[in-house]
Amino acid sequence: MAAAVEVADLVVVFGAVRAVDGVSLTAGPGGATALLGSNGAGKSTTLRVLAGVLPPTAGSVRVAGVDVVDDPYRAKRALGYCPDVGGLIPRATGWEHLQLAARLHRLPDGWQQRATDLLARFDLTAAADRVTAGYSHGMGRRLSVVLAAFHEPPVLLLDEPFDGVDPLGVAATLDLIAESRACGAAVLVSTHLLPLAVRACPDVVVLTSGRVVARIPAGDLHGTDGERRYAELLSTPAGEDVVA
Amino acid sequence: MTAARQVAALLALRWQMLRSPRRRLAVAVAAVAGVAVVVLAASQAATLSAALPAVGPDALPLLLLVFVVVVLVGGVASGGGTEIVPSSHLVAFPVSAAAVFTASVVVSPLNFAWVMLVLGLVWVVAAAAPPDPLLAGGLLAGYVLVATVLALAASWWIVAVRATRRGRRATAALGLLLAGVGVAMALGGSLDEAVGASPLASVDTVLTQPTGVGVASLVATLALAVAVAVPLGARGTRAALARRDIAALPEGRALPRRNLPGRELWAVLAIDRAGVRRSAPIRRGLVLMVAGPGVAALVGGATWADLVIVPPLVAVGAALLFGINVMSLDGGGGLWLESTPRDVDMALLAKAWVTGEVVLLAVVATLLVVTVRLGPPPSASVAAAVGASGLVGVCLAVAVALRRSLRAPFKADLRSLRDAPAPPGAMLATALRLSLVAVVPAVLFGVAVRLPGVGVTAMVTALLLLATGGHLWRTRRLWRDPALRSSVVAKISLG
Repeated sequence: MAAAVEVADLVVVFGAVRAVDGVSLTAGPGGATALLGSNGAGKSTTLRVLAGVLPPTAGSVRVAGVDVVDDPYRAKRALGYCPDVGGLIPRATGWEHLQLAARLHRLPDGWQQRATDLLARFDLTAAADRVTAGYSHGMGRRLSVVLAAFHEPPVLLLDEPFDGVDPLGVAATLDLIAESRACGAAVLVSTHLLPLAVRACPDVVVLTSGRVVARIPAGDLHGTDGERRYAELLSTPAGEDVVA
Repeated sequence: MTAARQVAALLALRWQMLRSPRRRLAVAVAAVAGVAVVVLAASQAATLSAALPAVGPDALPLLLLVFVVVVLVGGVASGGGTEIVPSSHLVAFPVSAAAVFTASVVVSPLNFAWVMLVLGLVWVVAAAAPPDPLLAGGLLAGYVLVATVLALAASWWIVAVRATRRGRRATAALGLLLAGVGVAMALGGSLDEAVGASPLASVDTVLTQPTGVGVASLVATLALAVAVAVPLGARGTRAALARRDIAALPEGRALPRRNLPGRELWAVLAIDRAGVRRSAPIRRGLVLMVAGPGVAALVGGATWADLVIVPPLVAVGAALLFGINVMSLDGGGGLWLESTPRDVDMALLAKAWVTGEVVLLAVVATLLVVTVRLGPPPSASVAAAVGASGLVGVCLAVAVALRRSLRAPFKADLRSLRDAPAPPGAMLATALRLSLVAVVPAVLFGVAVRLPGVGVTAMVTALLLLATGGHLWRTRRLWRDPALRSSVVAKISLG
């Protein structure tokens, strides 16, 4: 089966900083991969390149078989992205965000029902007609996740979707990830929350200093032993052999 | 002393935020250039006054009053005064109200209107050829400082009072009443007389013909005024900061649901328009943008032919409200929007369109106010020149603002009245740049309107529109560069 996400030798340089330094990863349809790593490891930068928000310095990035650099429009039609910070237009309401997403993704009439359902599941119905500048951090995160998944993309990119979110929001996000996978979407989740990462994704990629240091099944990072192993991986110097 | 130390720390922080040596050098050069312009205005005052007799020494008392009024209105419009660092970035730090007030005084020179009025005062005082220019300069500097402190202290108190519904109505009514009386007195010719009978006339006398007693009493009065105004201003600032800004959008309230248009461009445009409409500082700025030139047109003795220079100036002024950083309307949503399959050109077109609408609204409203005062233009050629000046002014303002938005983007909330589309220094630099841009059509149409027929007007219009089109085309090419777009989106979303 063709990979839904293919990243090969990705390099992103900001001035003197190599934020991403030769990252390669793949994710198949129906799969979910957690990107883990310390602050500044290159997780968010990798997702931004995949989302077509940031051009790569080198390497190739394909989403649903489409090169993000060569054909960004088609690639963006195939993905949904929840950025790690913000992600919402401050003086637009939640419902206006969903309407705009429906227009930009050219969704057929009937999208309103899915929008209403998603808002209800993420406990945002009451806030749907308020401008997002007045949302709490957790509400903003939840709406960002809703916007990413709303058009049922074949590739779902979630950057810190659990950050500051209450337990009900976390449960709704985990359900949404499972549903998307069941529908054949490839899901990439970047997070610092190891227990949630291993619950959401069967595969884990660990990055440090812009490089992949491990590709392992999530099961290897369960429990206290898993936490210890994760801490060891985080202290692995970039450039050593990848743990698989 | 704590306030002074905190202001020094904020200024140091702002200086450190200028990352590149080039920017720091530019700020240093701008400061030196500012002093040079003041010296030049003083040294060439006699020559300039001969060319423009309307702003000769006789205008000094009125100009002294206008300075206070403009600083006061500007302070109220910006929610008290300009900030060195936005308060939303300082929530974790115990910045005192006294420091906020002092900062608003310190940052005043980074306001375009303040700079222009001070230049005007320097020019007019120098044109009166005082016997001791250095003493006159020192006294004028003292007046400017004290007038700024007093006006800002009053503006912080007004902002505090306006934070209640009743206070809001009362201050609005009082403001309208005072403005009405001022306009009526100006139209009736009694304003100069009233100003001449006020203490400002004594300031005028001391500045232009200083005597020992006069200087001593002016210095004592200014010192007393500043000693009273500083603690008063700090208390007003504390009161204003303690109350919620009711002019801002009630963010906890549900808004009526409406359908976005079906076509992508119109949908994006509807969101951008909402971003403008729901922003308190943009709404307030737009009202002042129309009211300022409108009042000037009402009380001034200008003719339609003189007013042909107004539309480009109003247009660039309106572009300063948000157009110079128009991408910031998307805020944190920029990252999400950039990941959606929207057409790149369409995104830019929507931003140009919404800027153009606001700029056009300001220009048309100003011309309508002028029409009330002067009646319709006296001839078709004057009407054509004014119309062409308006059209070119709008297009030019949009083109230059759009380019600035891509070249110098900033994260700007535009939520509270104290929010500006760019930091104070960048605002001043952009205002100066836009003013220089506006001078070109203003001068060209100013000449064209005095020539018979509409041939020259048409030619000037065609040339300027062509140049504007080229500028817009190059801006579009810039926006199509993914690296630049990504950097703009990162700056407006993440800061």
